[in-house]
Amino acid sequence: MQNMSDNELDNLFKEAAEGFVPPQDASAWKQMSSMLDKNPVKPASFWNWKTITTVTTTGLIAVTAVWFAATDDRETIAKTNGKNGSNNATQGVVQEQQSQTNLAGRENLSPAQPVENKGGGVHAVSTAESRNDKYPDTKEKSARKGNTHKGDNGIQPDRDTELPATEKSEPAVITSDIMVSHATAPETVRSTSSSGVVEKDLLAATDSAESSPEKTRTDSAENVSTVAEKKDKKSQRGVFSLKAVLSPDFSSVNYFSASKSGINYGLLVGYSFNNRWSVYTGVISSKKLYKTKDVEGSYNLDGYDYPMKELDGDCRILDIPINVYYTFFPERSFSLRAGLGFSSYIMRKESYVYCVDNYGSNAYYEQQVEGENNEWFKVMNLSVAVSKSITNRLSAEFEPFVKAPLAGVGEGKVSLVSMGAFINLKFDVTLNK
Amino acid sequence: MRLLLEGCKKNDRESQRLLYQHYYAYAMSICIRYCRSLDEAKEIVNDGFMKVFQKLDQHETELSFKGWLRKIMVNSAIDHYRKESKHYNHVEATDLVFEPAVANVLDDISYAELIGMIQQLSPAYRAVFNLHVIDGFKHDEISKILNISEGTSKSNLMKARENLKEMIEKANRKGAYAKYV
Repeated sequence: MQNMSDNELDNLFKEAAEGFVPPQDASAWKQMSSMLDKNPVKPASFWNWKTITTVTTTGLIAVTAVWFAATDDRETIAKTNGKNGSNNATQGVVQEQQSQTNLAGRENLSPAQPVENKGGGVHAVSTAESRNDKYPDTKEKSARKGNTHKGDNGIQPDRDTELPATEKSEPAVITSDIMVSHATAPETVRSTSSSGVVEKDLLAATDSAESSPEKTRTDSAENVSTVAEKKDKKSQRGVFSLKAVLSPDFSSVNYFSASKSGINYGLLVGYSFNNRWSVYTGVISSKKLYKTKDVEGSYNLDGYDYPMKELDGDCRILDIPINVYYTFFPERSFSLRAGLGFSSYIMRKESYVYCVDNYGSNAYYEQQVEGENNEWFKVMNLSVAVSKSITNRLSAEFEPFVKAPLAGVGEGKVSLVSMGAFINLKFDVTLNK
Repeated sequence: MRLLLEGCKKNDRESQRLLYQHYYAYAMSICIRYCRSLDEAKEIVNDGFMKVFQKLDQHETELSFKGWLRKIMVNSAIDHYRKESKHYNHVEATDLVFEPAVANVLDDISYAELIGMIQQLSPAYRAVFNLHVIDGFKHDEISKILNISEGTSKSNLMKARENLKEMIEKANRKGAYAKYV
């Protein structure tokens, strides 16, 4: 026996290990059962710690994104309301003053005043009103011009010279202004339409005077265009975007033969060149599970080659994609995007179970490789995404994808195909140009 | 088998019993090589099955389940080895008197005697021999599993082989081996 070679000895004991059948033990289950009673096994649940972590992280990202978007919307609304509020306040003051001046005007109305002055006032206001109806965009301008006519009549002081005083919050001036108008044309002031014109005129002046009083002398049409530009900037899509992605992963060595589901989750950063072209990159943590009988070759163990029958793979990968997207129908709330790009796989951990033919019976050998294989741009990404805007900044996407191998990846250099569908939350980061 | 596994995932005791009894012999054939007695092996098998029931949702098919079960059992045996290694008396196998520990109660005597020889190895030799020769681990993997150097792993394997050859020789001389073969 001392002449027996190591290989012969090994094979003898391998055969013994494979063929050895220990006796059944009836008492063994009783012991096992009592162990199970002492340590009850919790039924498999969807809510294991990994799922909870993934869902919590995704939820936090989503809530944060929604909160940011909502805050932005609230700020926009608040600013608009603030302006309206101040306008309303001004309006209120003016209306209050108006009511006071109505009385004052009536009291001050002198029967000795010339009748033609009254007519001039009526003419001026009605002219402005008719212009406003025809050209609503130049409503304020027209109104002001109308008031200028009053000055031309020599009854009311020139409006332009009086407005700065109004902007300096000197109600007395406004009052006197309106008082004069009312005094000269009480019928007109009492009519709703004409008083509206006066109020709008004052509001426009007050609004534009918030930043610099000097600008109130400029044409109010400029104010209108400035507001429009601001609105455009607010509604403008972000140049940079953040995208949280989550999907199941169905990987296989051949197409359409995936057996188990893994998972992909990660964060991407995007840059939009315009409303159609954009590029995204980032990191996706990926768990790829696959099993295949379509394996060639053999498993070498101590110089022996065992024909391989099956391979079970469990790979933990950092997927670094670089994808370019083209957006169809960008103006619609539902848009369609097609993506093409490449992925690099950082193979963090590869676990393989090889099923080999060991003298007619199955034998299983495991192999674990950690951090040894980095595959740069060996996978092509194809995807189509349907996107729906939730808010100005936030949108949800459904993105079926295929990751097609351009070369073998991992320790076994397998042509690994991955498929799935991402559920994405995209947050646009608006930049001030 | 799929239904059985599904039942076990739902913590159905009857399914657990059937699965346990179906794979008990297979699990025992793995664990008994890593320890010295049937009772010790039974303890390892039950520890392994506890892990199986706790983590069963990770596996679906019967084939991969068997491979996974093997992995669990080997890991349980190694855990047991680590736990007990402090209490083992590191005696050389050559100092032991060969006694076919389980041969008397087994039908397949020749295999049983060979397994008995593995059981008679010192724990360190036994672990390396089982991991490398029968379960297919490489020396660098064994060095990580057992927290020893690769050189120690190779050395232990060589000594294990020598001891086994001596045991076979002794058995031959006494006629015990011839009797069972």
